[in-house]
Amino acid sequence: MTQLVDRYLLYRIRAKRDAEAFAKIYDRHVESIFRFVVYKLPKKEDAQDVTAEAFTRLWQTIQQPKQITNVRAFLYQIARNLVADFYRKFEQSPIESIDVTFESDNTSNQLYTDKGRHSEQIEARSELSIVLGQLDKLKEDYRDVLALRLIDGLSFQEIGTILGKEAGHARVIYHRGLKAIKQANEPTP
Amino acid sequence: MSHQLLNKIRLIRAVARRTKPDATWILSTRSTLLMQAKNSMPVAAVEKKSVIKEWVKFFAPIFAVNKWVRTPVTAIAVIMLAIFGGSLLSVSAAEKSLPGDLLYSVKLATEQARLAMAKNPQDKVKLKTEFTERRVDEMKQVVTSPEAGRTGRVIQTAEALKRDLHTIKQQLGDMQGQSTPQTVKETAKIVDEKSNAVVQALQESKGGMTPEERIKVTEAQVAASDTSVKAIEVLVDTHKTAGDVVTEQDVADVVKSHNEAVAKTMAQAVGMNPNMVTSTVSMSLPVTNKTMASSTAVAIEQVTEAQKTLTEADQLVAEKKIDEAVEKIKIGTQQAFAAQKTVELNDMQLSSGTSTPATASTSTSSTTEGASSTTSTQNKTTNSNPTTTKTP
Repeated sequence: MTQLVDRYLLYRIRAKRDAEAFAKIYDRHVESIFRFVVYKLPKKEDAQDVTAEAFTRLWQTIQQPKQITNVRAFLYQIARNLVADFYRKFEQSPIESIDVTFESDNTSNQLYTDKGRHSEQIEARSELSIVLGQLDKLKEDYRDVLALRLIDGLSFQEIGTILGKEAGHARVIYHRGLKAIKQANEPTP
Repeated sequence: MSHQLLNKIRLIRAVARRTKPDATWILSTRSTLLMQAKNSMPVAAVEKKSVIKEWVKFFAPIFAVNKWVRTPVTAIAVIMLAIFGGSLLSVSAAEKSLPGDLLYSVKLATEQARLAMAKNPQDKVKLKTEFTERRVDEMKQVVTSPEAGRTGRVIQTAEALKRDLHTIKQQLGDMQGQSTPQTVKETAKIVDEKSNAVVQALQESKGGMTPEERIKVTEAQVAASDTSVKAIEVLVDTHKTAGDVVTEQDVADVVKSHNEAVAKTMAQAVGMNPNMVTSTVSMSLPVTNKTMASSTAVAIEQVTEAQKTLTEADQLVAEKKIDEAVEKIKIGTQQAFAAQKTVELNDMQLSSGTSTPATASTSTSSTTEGASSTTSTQNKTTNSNPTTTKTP
C-alpha cells in the first residue's frame, strides 16, 4: 500500500508537474529516514543534514528518466550511502560513533520532547545502548537489517533493495543478527 | 531467554519510534525542498506520450507476474499439479477413450494397475469381468462411430476382449486350488453370468457391422462362451469335492442358463442374416447364390445339430450325468458358433467377391431355426469355405 501511494505521488510529479506531491513524499518518509541515520551519526545536526541531502538526491533522481520502483527503499539506500560518505570524509569508523551518539543524546535532549516520561526514557535508553552495544559487535549489515526490520518494520524485499542484496539474504542476516543478540544476552543474568 | 529478548526488542522499538526530528526543522526543510522542486521543475507542458509512459510505470509492478511466478511456492505448486493433477486428468480422459485412441493404452495400463492392487484371486477375477463389460461397452461405441478406421478399432476391441476372457479362464482355474468352495462358487457363477451377458451384448452390437467385423466379434463371443463353459466346469469340479456348497441344482441352473444364452444368440445370428433367408427362395440365381445356398444349408445343419446337443446336455444334467453333460455343452457351444461362422464367412465372401448381396437381401421376416437336420462339424464348415471362395 505504501508503495502504491509513493508510486502515485511519483506519477503526479512526473506527469502532472506537481511539486506538492514531492512534499508529500517528504512528509511520509522524513521521520523514518532521520531515525535511520540519527543512530549512525555523531550529532543530531549531522543526521538532519544527511536526511535533507537524501531528499535532495531523490528529487534529482526523479527528474531523470530513471525508474524508481520503491521510493522508501531508494531513500534508505541514499541515506546509507550518505552516512558512508560522511565517515569517509572524516576517516572515522561507524562503530566508534555509536557511543558518541549517546553522549550527544545525553547532552542535547531535543530528541525526547516528552519530559513526563523521563525516567522511563533513561531506562529505555540504557537498554537501547546495551542492545545496540551488542549490535556494535555485529557487522554493519546486521545492524542495518535489524534496525530496518525491528524499528521501521520494512519488508525483507525492501531491506534487500536497500542493502543491495536478495530478499532471502536479508532474511538470513536478520535471523543471524537475532541469534547473535540472543547469544550476547545469555551469559548476563 | 527469548522472551526477555522479545521484550528488549519491543522496548527498543518503542524508544526508537519516539525518536523524532524537530518539528521546526522538518517544516523548514520541507519549504526549502519544495522551493527547490518548484524552481527546478521543467516549465514545458508534459507530452501526452510521456504521461502514458508514466501510467505504464505506475501500473507496471502489478503486472510483474514473473516476480511471483519465480517463487519456490509457485514452482512446487506447479510441479505438484503436473504430477498429481496431470495424471488424474489424463487418466480420467483415458477412461473415456476407445480403442484406436491415443490414450487407450493408458486406460488399459490403469486397469492393469487396478488388477495388480487386488488382494485375492476372486477379486482379480471379478475386476477382470468388470473390464470385459467395459470392452463390450467400447465395442458398442466403436460400432456407432462412422469413421473410416472402424474395422481396425473393432478388431482391436475384440482382441482385447479375447485376451481378457482368456485371463479370466486361467484365473478361474488358478482359483480352484486356492480359495474356499464358497468363494469359488460365487466367482464362477458371476463369471458364467457375465460371460453369457457378454455373448448376448456382442450379438446385439453386430447389427451395424460389416461381415469382416462380425467374424472378429464372433471370435470374441467364442472366447466368452468358452469362459462360461470353464465356469461351469469349475462349478462341477467344486460340486464333486464339496457337494454341500455347490448342489446339483446349482449346476443344473448354470447349465440351463448357458444353453439358453447360446441358443438365443444362435437364433439371433441366423435370423438376423438376410441372405440366409432369401437364399432358399433364390435357388435359380447364378453360381454365387448357389454356393451361398449350399453354405446356408450347412449352417442350418449346424444349428440344428447344436440345438440337439444342447438339449441332450440338459437331459444329461437331469439324469445327473454331469460330466457327460459338460462335454455335450462344450460340443454344442462349438457347433452353435460354427454355424454362426459359416453364415458370416458366407456374407463376407458375398460382399468382397461380388456386389450382389444388396439385391438379394430384401425379405428378412422368417427365421431358419427349425430347418432340416443333417450332421456336420466345425471342420467341415472351414473346409467348405475355400470352395466357396474359388467359385466367383
